[in-house]
Order: sequence, then C-alpha cells, then structure tokens
Amino acid sequence: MSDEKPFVDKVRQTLDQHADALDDVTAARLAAIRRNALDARPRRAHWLPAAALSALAASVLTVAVLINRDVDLPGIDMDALELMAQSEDLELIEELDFYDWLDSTQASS
Amino acid sequence: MQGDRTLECGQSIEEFLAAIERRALRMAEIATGNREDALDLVQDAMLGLVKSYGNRDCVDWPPLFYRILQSRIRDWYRRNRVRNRFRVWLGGLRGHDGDEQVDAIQNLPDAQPGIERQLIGQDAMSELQEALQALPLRQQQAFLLRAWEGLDVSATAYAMGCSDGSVKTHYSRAVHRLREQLEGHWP
Repeated sequence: MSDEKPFVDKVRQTLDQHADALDDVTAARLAAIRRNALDARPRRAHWLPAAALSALAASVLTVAVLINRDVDLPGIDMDALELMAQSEDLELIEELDFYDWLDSTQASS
Repeated sequence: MQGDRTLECGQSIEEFLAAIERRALRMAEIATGNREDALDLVQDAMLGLVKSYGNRDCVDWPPLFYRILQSRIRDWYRRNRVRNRFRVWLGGLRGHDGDEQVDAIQNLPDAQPGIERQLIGQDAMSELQEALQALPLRQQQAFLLRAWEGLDVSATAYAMGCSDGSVKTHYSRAVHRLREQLEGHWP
C-alpha cells in the first residue's frame, strides 16, 4: 500500500487539476443543476404546527361550549318541539278540533 | 462509513454539492466518455440526494451521493449496451437491404489510437484518462472513489453496492493495471 502511495497521490493531483480546469460554461451549468436540485428539496410548511394548534384549540372550545351550554334554545317552545318530535302527538295536534268537539259534547251530556 | 475528503460536518447540503460537483462530473465523464450524459447523471444524483436524503446527517451524504451516481452510471451502461446491440442488429438488417446505399467515408476505420494520442498531446491527464477509461467499470469506480474521492473501503462498498472484499479486489487490480499502463509516462 505504501509502495503505491506516491502513484496514487500523483493520480489524485492530476485529477484535481483536471477538475479545477473545468471551463466556465460547464461550471455554470453545474451550478444551475445544483440550484435546481436544491429548489426541488421538500420544504417544511412552517405554518402547519400553528394551524394544527389552532384547530385543536377550536375543537376543545367547541366541545366545552356544547357540554356546558343550556339546552333551552331562545325563542323555541321546548314542549311544542317535543310534541312535534313524536308522530302520534302530531296526529293529536292535527285533530285538536275533533277532541275539542268531543270534550264539549261530553260536557253537555 | 465515511470518507476523509468531503466530510466537514456542519456544512449545508448546498456546500456539500458545490464541493463535490466537479469531481462527480469528471467521474461520470470518464465513465461515459460524454459530457452531456455526464451532466445528466450528476443532475439525477443531486436530485436524488436532495429529495431523499437531504435531511440525513451530512456524514452520510458522500456515500449516499456516490451510491446514486454509480447506480445511474451502471444504468447508463446497461441502456447503452442494449442500444448498441439494437444498432448492430439494425445495421446487419440494413446491410442485407439492396436499397441501402453504402457510405464509403462512414465506413472508413476511425483514426488509430496512437495517432489520435499524438494529436491530443502526451500530457499526463490524457494518458491517465485513457488508462482509466480502459479499466472495467467496477475497477474504475472503486479506484476513483477510493483514490480520488477518499472514501474508505466500507463507504466505497456502500456506494458501489458490493462487499468490502470486492472493493479491495477491484481497487488493487485497478492500481496494478494503471501502473502498468502508465509506466514510462509517469514517474
């Protein structure tokens, strides 16, 4: 190995000189290739952690509001809403006139 | 797994690429004998490194970069071999075709290497380049990565996709052949 060292050193030196003597046009093309490669590197989106944190905070806030809020909605009669949610009670409402008449008939008799 | 030439850790990937690009181009050029193809190969290697390994530790970049480059060079060789076979086959087919004109000038043999060498000049680099190009690809790769780029045996093995033992064999044979060929021209 030590025997070949001067030879290998000479080879390296010659190759270095050859590489250093690259013409300007090729050197410029190499630099452009390097820049293009660097432009293609995957970029980290710096806004992503902040956005993720904001979304998490918004979700927590929404859940907290839903859990703690009063179930009564302003301007809505909850009894009527409950009645409307049941189909048999809807029929009762639709035939309310009939039941009024029935009541008055029974009262008079 | 590291070489002793390009590893100044703390450097950015841009600094690393700027430091090795000329040697990489010359390596690819010696392998292909063609500057345009060499530039394409270096471009592929740079893109591959930046896209896939840009976030890796900078000590890993030299073997990774040369692994990509050497792989691209081997692909280039394979493609060229297939292309040349196809050309020979197509040439044979045309040779049997009566309509094909035979161009006497095109069929003249190329200039003899000795004459060409005299025209190029007897400088050290021409001799060296010729000797390197005459090496089998694996010997050429092992020699350039070890002797020029300064990668150690294991980094060279990783770059070439072979064992440490193969690198030692290729390198030793390459040095032997180069010394034989350059004897008399080099001290």
